[in-house]
Order: sequence, then C-alpha cells, then structure tokens
Amino acid sequence: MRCIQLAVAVVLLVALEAAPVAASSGVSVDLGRVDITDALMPGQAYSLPTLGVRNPGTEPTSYVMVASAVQDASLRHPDAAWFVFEPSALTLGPGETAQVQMRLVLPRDAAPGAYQVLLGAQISSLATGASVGAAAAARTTFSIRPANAIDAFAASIGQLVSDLWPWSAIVPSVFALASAGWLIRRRFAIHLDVRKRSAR
Amino acid sequence: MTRRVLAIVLASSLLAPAFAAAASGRGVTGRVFATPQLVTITLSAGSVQVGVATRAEATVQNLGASPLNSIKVELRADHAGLVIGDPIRDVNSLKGGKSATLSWTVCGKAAGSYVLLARVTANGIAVDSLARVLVVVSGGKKACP
Repeated sequence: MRCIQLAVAVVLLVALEAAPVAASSGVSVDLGRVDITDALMPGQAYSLPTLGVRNPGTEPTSYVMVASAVQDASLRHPDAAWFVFEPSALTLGPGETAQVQMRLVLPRDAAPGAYQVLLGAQISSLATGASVGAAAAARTTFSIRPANAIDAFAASIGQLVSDLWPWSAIVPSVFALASAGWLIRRRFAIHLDVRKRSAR
Repeated sequence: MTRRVLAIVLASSLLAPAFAAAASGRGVTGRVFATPQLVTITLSAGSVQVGVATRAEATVQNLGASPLNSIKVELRADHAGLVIGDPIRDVNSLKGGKSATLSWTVCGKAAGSYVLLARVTANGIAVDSLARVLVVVSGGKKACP
C-alpha cells in the first residue's frame, strides 16, 4: 500500500513539474490584409489605413512595429525603411488598444514590380523582463509603376524575359549568331581548303 | 513487489508530459472558416482638392445561402489626414445572394495620397476589400466639415 502511495506521489510530482506556466501576453491587429489595386509611383508617400494594435494578454506588454518579409519568391520584398510607423513602439496594458499610423514612402529609385510585406506589431518585452517574438501582422501587397518611359520599357523587357525563359535567351542568341554569320559572310570571304600534303 | 513499483513509476514518468499537456491545454487546434461575405470599394474620384468632399462606396455581398445578421461595415483609412463621416455602419440583415451598398463622404484635410479599404464583419469573421488610393491635392480653399 505504501508503494502505491509513493508511485502516485511521483506521478503528481512529475506532472506538476512538466506543466508550463500559462501564457498571459499576446498581440492582435485589426487588419487582415491591405491589397492596393492602384499602381504606386516611385518618390511618392502613401498613408496606409490606421492599424489597431491590441494587447489581449493579462499583463502590460511592449510592442515594436515591424515590416517583415514574406517568404514568397514570386513577389519582391520592399525595404523595411520604406515604412514609417507612428508610434514605432508602444506599451499597452491588458486589453488596451492603440491606433498606429502607417506610411509607405517610396524612394525615387524604387524598382517597378509587385511587392509583398507583413506590417504589424511584435512583442518586444514583457513587464517581467522576458522577451518573446510573437507578432501579428497585416499582409500588404502593392505594385510600383515605372517612373518614366525608359523605366517602363526596361521593366516590360525584364518581365518578358522572365516570363518566356529560357526561350527569351535562346531565340535572341540564335538570331544574334545568324546575324553575325551573315555579316561576316557579306564583308569577308572565307575560303576553306583541304589539300593533301606534298610528299617530301 | 519492487518490480511492480518500478514499473508503475516508469509508466507514470512516461505519461506525465501527456497529462501535463492535457492539464495546461497545450496542443494544436485549428479552425477553418468559410466566409460568405464579400466587400468591394469604389471611389467616385481618384483625385480631389483639399477640403472638397468625395464619395466612397462599399458593396457588401452575401455569397452564401443563409442570411447574415448584425453586419458591421467600416471604411478604413488614415483618420489623421481624412475626415470620414461615420466610418462604421451597421447592416441589420442581408439575405443569401443579396448585396447592400453603403456610401461615405470623404474629405481630405491635408494633401497626400491615402489608401482606403472597407472591412466587413459578420458572425465574428472580418473580410477586407481591395484597397484604393485617393490622392488629395492642395489648392482647395474650403475646410472639411
């Protein structure tokens, strides 16, 4: 009987030791996605919809606003410096919500194309001093149009090359070789002769 | 007897993490939402002067067969630069397959380019529309109401 009591005590001890502390911090944002349909111009600044950041946890938590890349090879990743948050960092009590203004400032040399980024809040530290990296973000997509006609032409050529690869490389190469051959034949006379060596 | 005690201790040690996980609620759970609502936004003008009001319309569609109740439609933008009259609107009910159109008056306080979108929330699920750009240019002599 004493052995069974001992075993039960061991089970309870191990179970209590393995049980984690309940999480009491978190972050949520009130926007799911921002898909901008109009093409944006390099050198322009755009005010994005205000983002509500909420602390759904039970203890005061500090947050930092971040623009982070999405692992999607089909779309470009904008530079994080293009995004301006006001405020860029904040501390919220349990259940509190704050509004964050977001601006997208495109540099004049921003490359044309389609972009994707996550805009949101990341937990920077808890009141206890612990630091965790949980984040909530709104997926944001936009496209940048070329700044001028030359950029537009270069962008369309680049897109065409990308869409038709590898034929976009093979066909011009064959055409270039044929043209070079035709020009050489027209300007130069190439005479190939095979003769038998005379015996000495 | 000693062997039996050892067996009980060993078994309980192996099962302890499972008991602990169950007790703390750990584990992976997932929910899949099918959203019957769809929202689109249109702007009556792509560019306006400061202080001149323009109209933004959001059309909410119920693509499902069941009616949607207590729908909230919000026009989202940078409220520091734009004045939007009553940005959150309520739609009491929307029958299956039907749509409703809501409109807002939008006025730019300062020149700039503003991104607007509509967000519809029904049954606890929120859906965002595609976003549009409204360009506010300087030159207007009026002030937003």
